[in-house]
Amino acid sequence: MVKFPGGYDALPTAVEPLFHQYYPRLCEFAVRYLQDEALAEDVVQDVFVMICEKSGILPEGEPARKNYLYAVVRNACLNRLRHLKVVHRHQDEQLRGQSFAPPEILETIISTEMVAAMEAAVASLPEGCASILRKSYVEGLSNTEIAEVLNISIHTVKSQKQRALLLLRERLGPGFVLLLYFLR
Amino acid sequence: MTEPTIDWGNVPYRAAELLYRLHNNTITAEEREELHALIPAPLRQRLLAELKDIPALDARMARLARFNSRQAWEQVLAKRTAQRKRTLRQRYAWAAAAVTGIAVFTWFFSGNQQSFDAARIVADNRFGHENDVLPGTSRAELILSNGKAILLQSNHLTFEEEDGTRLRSDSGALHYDANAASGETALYNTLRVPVAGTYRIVLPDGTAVWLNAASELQFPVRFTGNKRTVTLRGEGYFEVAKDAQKPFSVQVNGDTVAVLGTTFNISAYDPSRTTTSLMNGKVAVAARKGKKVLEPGQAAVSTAAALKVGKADLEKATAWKNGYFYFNNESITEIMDQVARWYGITVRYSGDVPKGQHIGGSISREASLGEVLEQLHLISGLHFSISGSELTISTATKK
Repeated sequence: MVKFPGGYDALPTAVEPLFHQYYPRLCEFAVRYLQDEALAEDVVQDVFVMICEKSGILPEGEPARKNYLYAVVRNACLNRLRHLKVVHRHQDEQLRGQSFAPPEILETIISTEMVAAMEAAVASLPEGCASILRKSYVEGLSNTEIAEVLNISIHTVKSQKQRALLLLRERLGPGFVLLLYFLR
Repeated sequence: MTEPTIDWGNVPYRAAELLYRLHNNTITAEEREELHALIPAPLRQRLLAELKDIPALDARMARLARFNSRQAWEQVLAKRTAQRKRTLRQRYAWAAAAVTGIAVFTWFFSGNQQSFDAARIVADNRFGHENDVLPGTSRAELILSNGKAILLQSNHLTFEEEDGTRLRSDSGALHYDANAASGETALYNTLRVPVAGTYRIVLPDGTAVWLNAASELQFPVRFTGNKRTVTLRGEGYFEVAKDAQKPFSVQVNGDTVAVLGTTFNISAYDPSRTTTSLMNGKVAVAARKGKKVLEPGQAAVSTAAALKVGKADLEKATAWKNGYFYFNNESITEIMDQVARWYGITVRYSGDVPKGQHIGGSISREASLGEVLEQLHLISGLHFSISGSELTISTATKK
């Protein structure tokens, strides 16, 4: 177990880098249980509030720390679902009869990690490539229009776009068209 | 085992990496074999199928990238401050309640039954334990005369014994109807209540028995002959239907408690000590060390050494059946025995925990383990830490 020296105020400082490292994927993981982004964020934040309160609760190093975090978030999700069921029991007929089988945890972890690896691959595309893809796919601009907007030659647009697609294919496998990703 | 203690090692992360490589064709033959050994084929197929669903993956990557950890961190800090203020206020409120010796609170989690013990282990973000444990629920196992076991929870079941006796279970109770039954010899059933469970049974004569956690009742599916005899282990609360022609008796730890129509509780978790508390009516306790008749409000304590009759603590004898723990000047070990049975946990004492201290108070049995321990902590000053289904008690917080 890691101990964070320095008392109440020092604790968050020690936890913060871990938070930035894991927050997005833990939220993505929690969405699989809760089917709701805002709820997922709330649950993951609560887990970290708890971690801040407890010194020495986080296992040291990978993969034990990740395993722990996924397991704790999953339990927090199920806990929240249970609570929501009570809250909605009299309001929501649908929730009442529904028997909810939570996703299997190991499978959900692997699936989340796959998505996180792919996202990291795309996020690390050179900025030029990413912005050309965004303009082309999302804004629906032609090569000529992109050249005008970015004030570069149409040749550069074409080569950048090709390079971007090549990089994407390399990183994500064939057939990838990321519409939503660049839309965000 | 609870999820937080499961250690998958590096399996999920290596599997994700290899699947990703398999998908973008950068996997080597060796890695392919490694992947096959790492996770079973059906799981592998499902995950590969996910990688083929590009629109869904696109949506998930977009979502992942939207989760903004910078903004979220500010919220974590704000929540932490808010929670700190709240817990301080609660501490004051509970400390005030502890002074009076009694703090009753209820916390309703959910009406639905948990079939697995693992499902009662939940995240804790209030008390600082590794996890919290939800209370026990209505559940039992019924062993029929042919040895078949039936799991009883909140499910509604109806079935028939071999002699035609009808059995019906509803939420938390089992009913016997012997009207259609025939035959000379009675068949015996056993109702077994596990730790973290409780159950009620209504025998064919109308007698109702509440069984506490880790208890067992053996009884005939109908009362033939001129006696009604059942056998108890653990703890049971009896409301015996009046039938002067057929005296009712309970066999417990070698003693016999004979009754007519009456209400009483028998606590016999310790095989060497049986406590019978009488609410009303009359019972005769026949023990190894003599025979005594109890009046309402009295209790008989039977041990190998003696059979003693004294004033009963009726509040305590009925508290469990009415849904709460009631501790009246009890030692920490006596209290923890009851807590352990209801939450299905094991208790470990770390170092020199003073066992002589006596504690009083009452707490809802609907509360989570964390809430019960918070109360006990405030009252006793002892420290409790839950890890999975193990509870450690010590005199000081481990840092």
